[in-house]
Amino acid sequence: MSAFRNAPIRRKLIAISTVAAAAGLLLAALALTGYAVKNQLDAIESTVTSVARVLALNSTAALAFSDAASANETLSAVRTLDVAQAACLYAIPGGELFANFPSSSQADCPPSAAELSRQRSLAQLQVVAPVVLDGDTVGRLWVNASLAPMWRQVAGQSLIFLLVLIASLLATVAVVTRLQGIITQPIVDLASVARHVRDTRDYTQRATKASDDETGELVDDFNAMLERIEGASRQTEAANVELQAAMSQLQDTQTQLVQTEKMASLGGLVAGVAHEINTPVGIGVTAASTLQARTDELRSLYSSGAMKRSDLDQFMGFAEQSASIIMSNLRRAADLVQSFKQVAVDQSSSERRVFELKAYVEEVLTSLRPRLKKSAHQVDVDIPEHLIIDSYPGALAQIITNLVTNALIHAFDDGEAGTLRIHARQQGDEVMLNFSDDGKGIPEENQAKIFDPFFTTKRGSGGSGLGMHIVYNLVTQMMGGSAKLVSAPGQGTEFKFRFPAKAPNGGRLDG
Amino acid sequence: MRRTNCLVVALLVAMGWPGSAASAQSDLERKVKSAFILNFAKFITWPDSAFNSARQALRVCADSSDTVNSLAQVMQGKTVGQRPLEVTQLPADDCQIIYATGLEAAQSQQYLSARTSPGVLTVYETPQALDGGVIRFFVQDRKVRFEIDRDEAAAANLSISSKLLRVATIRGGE
Repeated sequence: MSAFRNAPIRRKLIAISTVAAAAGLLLAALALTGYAVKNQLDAIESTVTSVARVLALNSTAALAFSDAASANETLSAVRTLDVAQAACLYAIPGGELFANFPSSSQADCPPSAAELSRQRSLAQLQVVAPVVLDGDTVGRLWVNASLAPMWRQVAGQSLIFLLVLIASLLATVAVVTRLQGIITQPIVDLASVARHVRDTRDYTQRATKASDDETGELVDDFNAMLERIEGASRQTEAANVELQAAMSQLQDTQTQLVQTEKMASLGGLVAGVAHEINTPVGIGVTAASTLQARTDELRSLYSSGAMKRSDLDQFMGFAEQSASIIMSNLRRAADLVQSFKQVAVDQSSSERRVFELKAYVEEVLTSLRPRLKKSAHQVDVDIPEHLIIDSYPGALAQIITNLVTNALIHAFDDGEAGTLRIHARQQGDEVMLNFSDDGKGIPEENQAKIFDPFFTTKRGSGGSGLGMHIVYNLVTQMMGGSAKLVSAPGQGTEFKFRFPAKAPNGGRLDG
Repeated sequence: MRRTNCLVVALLVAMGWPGSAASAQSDLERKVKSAFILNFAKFITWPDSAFNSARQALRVCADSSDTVNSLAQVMQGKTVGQRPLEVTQLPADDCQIIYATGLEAAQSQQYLSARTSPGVLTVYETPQALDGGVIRFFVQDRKVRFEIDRDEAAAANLSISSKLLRVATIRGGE
């Protein structure tokens, strides 16, 4: 049955029509046959009864005068009835068999009149007629008719019915096969349109309406539905486009912001550099200007001729001292510039090189000194000498800068003195770098968001919320490592980084 | 009861009747013939002129007292149609059936010729047919059979049922 349920509508229609036609024809054939059989049975019974009565009537004299020969002759008239098989005449009241047809066999007759009865079975019809003489029953006549000829006729009729049935079914199948398209074609067309729409998502398509019946309504409804979906899909598409635009705008903005933040930290670096260089250059300028003033004094003494030998000695001593001061301070400035230049270049570029971790961290810290000096904090660097890594110093500088800046802003209240600790060890191919402070720690609810872009607790006071995001991106993407935060309120904060000593190729920084 | 006469016939047929034409009539043969005579009455229609009324008895007249007794026994309480039956010893008047017993032609002829008016069924049993006799008994294959002379029947104005004719030997006719 489920096979039928899954069959195409066309086949269902044909099957249903055929079954209906077959059922109708079969019912009609059965009813007609049944009616015909009943009629024939009644007709046979009526005929046999009539014949039996006539024979009984004609047997009175034979019985009355015990003329068996005459009775046999009378009974032989039953031959005219082709269905009759036997006729038996019994004398009453004795009940014994008096005459029979066919006269050769008495076996066809019941032995006694007492056993006679009118009977109708499928195969035989048995009729009993009384033989009445002047109001008295003097005998009884029994006729046995075979129903086989009738059944043969019925079989013949049934065969004809069967042939008609088969012919009708063939005709039905032929006609329904030709005509089923009227019903199924619109549905098949509709299904094909629906499938096409499903496959191509082209909601502008429409099914063609062929008729004004239920199928036509279905097509209308389907088209209406498509129209609505088309509208909705168009809106969704438009919304999608807008969303995508907004998204890309947002991403651009984020990139810009990250860039800006990077430049900002570079600016901070430049400020630090300027401040650092200011001192030696200032000393140099003071020494040079003092030397210039003393030179001018000496020149005027020499011009006036009042210069004494002691004056020249004194000047030369002073000049030597000044030159030494200027030299040492300029060298110091040059050194500073050199190291700042390196950090600045690294920080603004994604150049990769081999460098010593401890020295580089210290260089970065030097550039941060102006900021650190403003606070009372102490920075402990615990990195073994000769820990050489092949990575991106710019990224590392940016990481240290952001971590220190972050710690200074968030870890301590104003005027509080704390300790920042930078600790690194090599472990196989990897470097474990820990940056910790003994500050207030980070509340639990913020820890999961600490690396998220634009997450900040100090938005009002200038925090961009990008610093730690940049740190995370640099460690994970550029240096191919991982970042983890361990903190609890009042217990300080520790960032744990782990990155390969030799950075993976193709390390790059998005945003 | 009428049943008894049928029973007699049936018994006769069943046992095989031992009578012969030459021997004196046995009681059984007499009874069979008596029953036949009763049955003749049922297959024969008399002219209206034979009776004075519709309820008038049908009178059977026989020449021998044994036969009269036998007939009376057979016809005791019987009717033919609506008519009761009467059995009378010959000579008698107004008989509807005259039965001349015996094989003597001269004697039987005397009774048959005594018939004066139509409407009388004459029955006899001589070996040869006699004038005035309508039905003649004879014995064949140890069975009582009878011969009907249709001319005599027509002369007597009697209408004989074709059923009766079929079981009888026919003599005369058109």
